Amino acid sequence: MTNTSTVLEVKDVHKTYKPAGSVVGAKAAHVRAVQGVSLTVHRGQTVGIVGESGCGKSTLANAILMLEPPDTGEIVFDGTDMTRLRGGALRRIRRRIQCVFQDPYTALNARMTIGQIIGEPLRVHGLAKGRRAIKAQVGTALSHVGLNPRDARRYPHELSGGQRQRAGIARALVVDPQLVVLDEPTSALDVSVQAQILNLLLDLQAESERSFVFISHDLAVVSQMAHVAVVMYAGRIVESGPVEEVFSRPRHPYTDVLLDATPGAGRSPRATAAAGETRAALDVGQGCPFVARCPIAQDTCAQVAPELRSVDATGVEVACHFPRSA
Amino acid sequence: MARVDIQADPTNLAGGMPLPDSPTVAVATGRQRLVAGLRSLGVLPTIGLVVVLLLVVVAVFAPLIAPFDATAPASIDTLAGPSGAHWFGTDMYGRDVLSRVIVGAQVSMVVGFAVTIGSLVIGGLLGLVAGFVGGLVDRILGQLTDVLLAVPGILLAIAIVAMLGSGIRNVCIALTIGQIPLMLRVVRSATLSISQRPMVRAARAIGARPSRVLLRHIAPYVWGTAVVQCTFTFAHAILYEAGLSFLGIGVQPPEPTWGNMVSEARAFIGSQPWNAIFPGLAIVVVVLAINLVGDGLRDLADPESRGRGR
Amino acid sequence: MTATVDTPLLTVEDLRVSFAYGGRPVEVVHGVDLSVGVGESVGIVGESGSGKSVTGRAIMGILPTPPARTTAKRMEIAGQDLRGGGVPEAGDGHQGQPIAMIFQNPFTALNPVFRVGSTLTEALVKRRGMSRSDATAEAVRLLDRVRIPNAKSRIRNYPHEFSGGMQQRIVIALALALEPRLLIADEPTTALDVTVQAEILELLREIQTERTMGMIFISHALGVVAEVVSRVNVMYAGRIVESGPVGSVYDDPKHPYTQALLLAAPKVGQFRTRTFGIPGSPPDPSSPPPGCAFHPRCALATDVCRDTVPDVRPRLAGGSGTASCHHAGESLVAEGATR
Repeated sequence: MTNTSTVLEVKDVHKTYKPAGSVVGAKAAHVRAVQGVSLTVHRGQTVGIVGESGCGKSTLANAILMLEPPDTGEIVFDGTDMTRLRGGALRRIRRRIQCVFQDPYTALNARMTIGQIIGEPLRVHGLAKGRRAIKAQVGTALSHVGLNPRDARRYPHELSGGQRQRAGIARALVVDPQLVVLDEPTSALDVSVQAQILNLLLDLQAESERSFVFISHDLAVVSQMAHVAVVMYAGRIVESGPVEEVFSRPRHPYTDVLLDATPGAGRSPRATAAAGETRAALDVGQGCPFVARCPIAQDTCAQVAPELRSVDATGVEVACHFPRSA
Repeated sequence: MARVDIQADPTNLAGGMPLPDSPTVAVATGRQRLVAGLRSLGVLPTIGLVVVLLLVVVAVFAPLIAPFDATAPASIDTLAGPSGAHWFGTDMYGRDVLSRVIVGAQVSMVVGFAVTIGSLVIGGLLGLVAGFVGGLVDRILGQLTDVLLAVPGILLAIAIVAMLGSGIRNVCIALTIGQIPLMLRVVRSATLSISQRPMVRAARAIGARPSRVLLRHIAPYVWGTAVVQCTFTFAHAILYEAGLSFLGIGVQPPEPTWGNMVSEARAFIGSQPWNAIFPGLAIVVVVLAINLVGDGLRDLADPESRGRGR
Repeated sequence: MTATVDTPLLTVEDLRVSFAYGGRPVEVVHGVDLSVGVGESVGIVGESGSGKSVTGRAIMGILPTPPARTTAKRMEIAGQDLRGGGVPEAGDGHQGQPIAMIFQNPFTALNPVFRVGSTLTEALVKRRGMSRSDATAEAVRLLDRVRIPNAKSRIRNYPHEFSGGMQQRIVIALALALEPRLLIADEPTTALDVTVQAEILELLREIQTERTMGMIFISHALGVVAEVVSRVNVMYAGRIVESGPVGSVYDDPKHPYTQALLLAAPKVGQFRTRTFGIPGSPPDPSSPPPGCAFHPRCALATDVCRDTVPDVRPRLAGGSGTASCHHAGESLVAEGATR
């Protein structure tokens, strides 16, 4: 944490979904997608959020973007609690928080040209007046992400997957946001193309003080991109801290399991007894959500949910009664 | 190859025509584009389209095309069968049935277009709003729709015409009210599904106003579905108008409509079927043609039948 | 893994697949040679459009023809010719099937209206000639084997009542019911979470060893392939550009594409670093570049690469494996091409 100025503070966010089509009288449990998540993003920093499907990372992204506002909790961006904003005020603040989506094809309007797509945020926020000015800024944005300004005239389906994602990044960056939320930005791309996009993102961050929230299921990608790693499980943060600490010396057994399972993580692969599937946090009762899969669980774990707490001076926080010491 | 371009643009639903702004298509000539559009539409729908267009031309130029006066009685030759002079024969007042069918097409077309446009504008807008806004608005519109749909279409039309009085304008109003819920429901569900697309999330995340999200990012995609529904509305309108006129509460004689022609011919159906057959056939042909066009457009719009260029 | 390459189970020579959609046919697999020994596990890695899945489906004989057209000089399993489409039923028709295949999305392989038990029992009765009661017992045993907990009662569940990983296990059980000698697994873990993937990979390893079953494992992920196979084939634009023992290929890649792929893959433990991004994107199969298909993206490319398709040549003198590159053995890193 080189810079201490805070850009985003997520405070104790909860988000519950009612199961679709629940009937009165049916005992359909509410899905607690995110349960009391807090995190801080500093200027120029990338916070990587990693976890398996159903862990709540995408719900958290939607909450930060205020696309699916949280039920309770605060999302403080640059001193303003966005959960209190409505209408125009919320739209204005969106200029400073942009987003890059997973599938660059479905996230771009296929009936608009790349130029119209990238120009849209400029129009929406009145940041450039007139066709000429917009065209010039779109051209700059395209070159910035390694596309040709002439690509502005093309349609999304005429671009390759990698080019489309570059266009998606250009759309996010054209309004010069302070924070960009990247929701699995490379998981729809081939390995060789993924590397190009990750490098581009690293370069774009190096030249500015922009902050990223980088969401991925892939530990290797997060390891390459993030300053801070946040590991989520069943709607909660189980471990967070400097990426080198979390991935080299995991304190939480779940982080350990994830690393074991990741091919090419330099560990000999083994399917542990702890492996198994994340049940969307349906009913974990009062105990630790990981208890059923945990290789080191003890009686306490089934009864008391561990709090996220600092265990040493490295800045790592872990939600486990029996964290491994570093 | 223009044929491939249709497939290459996964969003092309409207009318089967390549979107003019698709650059690869832009180099093709107008004729090539027309041929390409029709080819992707299929044979039967193309025949349907030709029939409908012919009928529009006939309706527009009816007074010029009709060989005889359609309303003035000419008692010389009543209830005659088809002949060289009167291709479709004459009715009980000696009027030329062909001329009356041609002029009757005007009423059918006017009612068809008026009801289609009316229900597209009102039902389409309400459907967009219901699907996009959701919540209470959606629930209220949904229940109104259900109530209207619970009443058989023809009964609803009779009831409204009975309140408003007969005449072509009131027939249009009555039929439009009956068609709005259908259009609303179709557009609402299309809007709902388009709204789930990441593209729409992206537009909201940019900070676009709801109106912009709806009009710029959702409506263009709903358009294709709405056009398909329009063809069915058109066919329904013609059918119901004929029904109302047949029952004597639609357009009043001597103004010819296919419906009141069949109605008048009822008395002579045993001895002189020509009088009923030709207007009846006109109804069947036009409704069939429109439905064929609708089916063709629906096949084009069906995501399963389109290859997605991924 | 007790690889016995000397006794080939599957032999494929000069496999070519083309697709014709209206116009001129487009060849997407350009002469693939492949062999799998009895009990051997072989990987095919490549990016989207490399032809890896088409190769698997062509061997299985499940490509829709038309538009697909498959030709090969040789394509046989245990002496049986596979050309002419469709995997033959072994022997008298009650011996299962020599090849079975599993896919990325297990749900599509399971009929949603049948209980998983009926699907399995049906396969056993029809394909193995078992009696109903034997088949039911065998179905439970198979589900047990793929580690479905409480197989005896779960057999009465419908596919949607299982998670993705469990569904993939059921599909594996279904494949095993046919007693195949070769299993083709096409991205079987791509849709799964990493922890579940690890379990499925382990299951495949175990089953493959205990049944001395051959396996072709197709994936875009080098790391995943490395965990289950002993030999790997790297495909690019419809050709195998490099093949060999997995350790040797990964530790000392000879083809620049293999080198680039390995460099490009992000790795846990490389913190906040750029990796090597291969410029450009894979070619469009309908208009492949002349010469070596990789040359437009290759830092080592010279004039010969632009004109001539490289021959398949041995990776190492006297060793097993091939590399199809005019500059095989030259290093991208040494050339400074990775900056």
